[in-house]
Amino acid sequence: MKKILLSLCLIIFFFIFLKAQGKEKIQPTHASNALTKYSREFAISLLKGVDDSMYPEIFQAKMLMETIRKGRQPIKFIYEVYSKGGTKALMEIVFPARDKGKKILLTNNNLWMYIPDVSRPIRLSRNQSFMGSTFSNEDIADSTWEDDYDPSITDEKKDMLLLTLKAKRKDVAYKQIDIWVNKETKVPTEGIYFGLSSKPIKKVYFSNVKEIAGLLRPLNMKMVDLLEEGAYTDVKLLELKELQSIPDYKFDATQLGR
Amino acid sequence: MNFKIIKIAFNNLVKHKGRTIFNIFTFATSALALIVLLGMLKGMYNEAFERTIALDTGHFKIYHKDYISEKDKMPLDKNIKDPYEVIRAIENIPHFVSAAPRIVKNGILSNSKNKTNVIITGIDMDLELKTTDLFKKLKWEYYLNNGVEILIGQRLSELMNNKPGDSLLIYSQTQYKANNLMDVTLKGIYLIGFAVMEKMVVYIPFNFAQDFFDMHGSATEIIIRIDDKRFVPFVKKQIEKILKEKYQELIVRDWTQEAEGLIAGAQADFISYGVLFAILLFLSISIIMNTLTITVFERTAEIGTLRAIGLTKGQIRWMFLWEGILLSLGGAIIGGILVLPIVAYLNIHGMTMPQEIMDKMPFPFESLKSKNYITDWFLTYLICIITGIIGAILPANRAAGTNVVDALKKGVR
Repeated sequence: MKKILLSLCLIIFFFIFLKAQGKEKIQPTHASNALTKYSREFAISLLKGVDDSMYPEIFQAKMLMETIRKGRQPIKFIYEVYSKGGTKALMEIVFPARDKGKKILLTNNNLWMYIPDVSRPIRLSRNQSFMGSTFSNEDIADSTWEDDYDPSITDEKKDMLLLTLKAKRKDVAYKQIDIWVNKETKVPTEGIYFGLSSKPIKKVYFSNVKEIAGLLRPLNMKMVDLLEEGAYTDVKLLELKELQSIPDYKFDATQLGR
Repeated sequence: MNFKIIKIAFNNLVKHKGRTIFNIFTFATSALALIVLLGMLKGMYNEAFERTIALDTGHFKIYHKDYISEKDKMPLDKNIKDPYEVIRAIENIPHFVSAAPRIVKNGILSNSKNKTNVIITGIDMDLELKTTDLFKKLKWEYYLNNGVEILIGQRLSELMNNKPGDSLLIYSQTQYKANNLMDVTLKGIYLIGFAVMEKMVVYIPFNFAQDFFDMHGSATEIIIRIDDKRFVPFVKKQIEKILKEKYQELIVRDWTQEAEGLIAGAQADFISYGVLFAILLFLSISIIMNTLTITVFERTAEIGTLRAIGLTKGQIRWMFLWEGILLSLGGAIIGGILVLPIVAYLNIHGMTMPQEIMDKMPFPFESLKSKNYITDWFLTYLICIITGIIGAILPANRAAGTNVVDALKKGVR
């Protein structure tokens, strides 16, 4: 009898423990916890490495984006991207056929959407969802973190470093981003975006690291929406070509229909 | 006025009872439809206007002058710096009832399982209770204090399956465009009977909204209520004068500017119902024209005789015109009497609409009650008489133009 009771207690304890693990609160890391053995300069170079590992300065790419939401049909897009200097990008949907020809243009923090049947481009709000995904337009627009965030290294696990990015100004989208980065390759593996009140808003996972366009880069990215159970968007890099230049007219809002 | 002609016209109508009853029935139906339609349209829009003022627009709203051009984006940085000082400056204007500061911004509400787009509105509960009718039916224990709490609509609570005491998440951007997300306690559920608002608009305390949106004491709008909407033009001038003197960066808009969609919808509805009624009147005109034209043909010999015994062309014309007037007036009076019980019911009890239809209504109203005035009957009589005259003109002219000799050849029946 004692053995049965003991086993029962153990089982109950195990379940309570599992539940507690599941409900573990995600807290932002305090920048004051910065590891002193890593200098600020190293943190800056690591952040630059992270930015560089994402995309080249000027590139053409093809990406697949799939958004999953509970109880809804998955939304799948394939689009071609032309990007120049992190501030100009043009995305054109090539799949599915019904959305083919739709374009999204980013120029200096302004976002425009061009729909073939509508003569004028539509201006998009930064906090709107990007094509029904868990990315917001500003997540797409702010492709480099170096200008907006102060980095520090706040934790270390084997070959991984926790890079804590603190917003430099009040007008930066997220108050803090905590991102685990491979020490050697400077490729990120996962990150958490925090709002002004230090609550986590989104989680991002990077995977399938391969050398492409001269650097090791994560080809897959998964953005998890913490506001909606089971909602996430997978982005797969299908092709990436580094380019020497892209003519400026490609990023002209008045030329989107051509 | 020649009463003999009227008497002859009346006798003619009595002589052709069947035809007269049919024509009177046509006009009675038109009059009945017009009175009911006028009452329902006025009732529906009066209710929609009053409820819109009470729930959404107030009689006026004050904004930063640059806010309106970007109103769709709900910009937080185009704000009113010290809203309470502005309220103090306008509270002595005649007819002023109350004013309340608000912070309005789009955002997302989540219960961690589901999320939905909402309009987050930061309100000063005490002032809001005096200024709007939003929380007239709210239980006092649901009133917002200054905590981190939220009020959501009945429809939204049903969609999200949440009840008071539950923990929710609100997500939006500060006035500096930084993302913010906070846990809030669901303090209560409001019920206003307007599904669109109940699904879309959530309320948080003004002080909490200050922190959440990083507003430093500012508001995006001030909502103002006066004692009667008839005084809107007068009070607007007074507010404009004060703003011009003290707050040049602010502007005031009245409820008709705020509810442009509703006003345009009302005008469009009046036009489309007007077209429908014009078709109804056209049918009445055609029927009376047809009936009187047949009468002219049938009574050709009689007209010849009347002309032979001395009636002038003008008297013949008036005789037929009077027949048209008497038919239309008789029909309108009968319709005006028959409509009384219907009007009484619709004005007192109104029509209960199925919930599915009420949910799709773009305007806030509780029930479809008519609003009829005595002027509706006078207007209806006037329209019917004009219709009767128009319908009788052609047959009357034809009758007046009848050749006496040809008419007499047919012989009097």
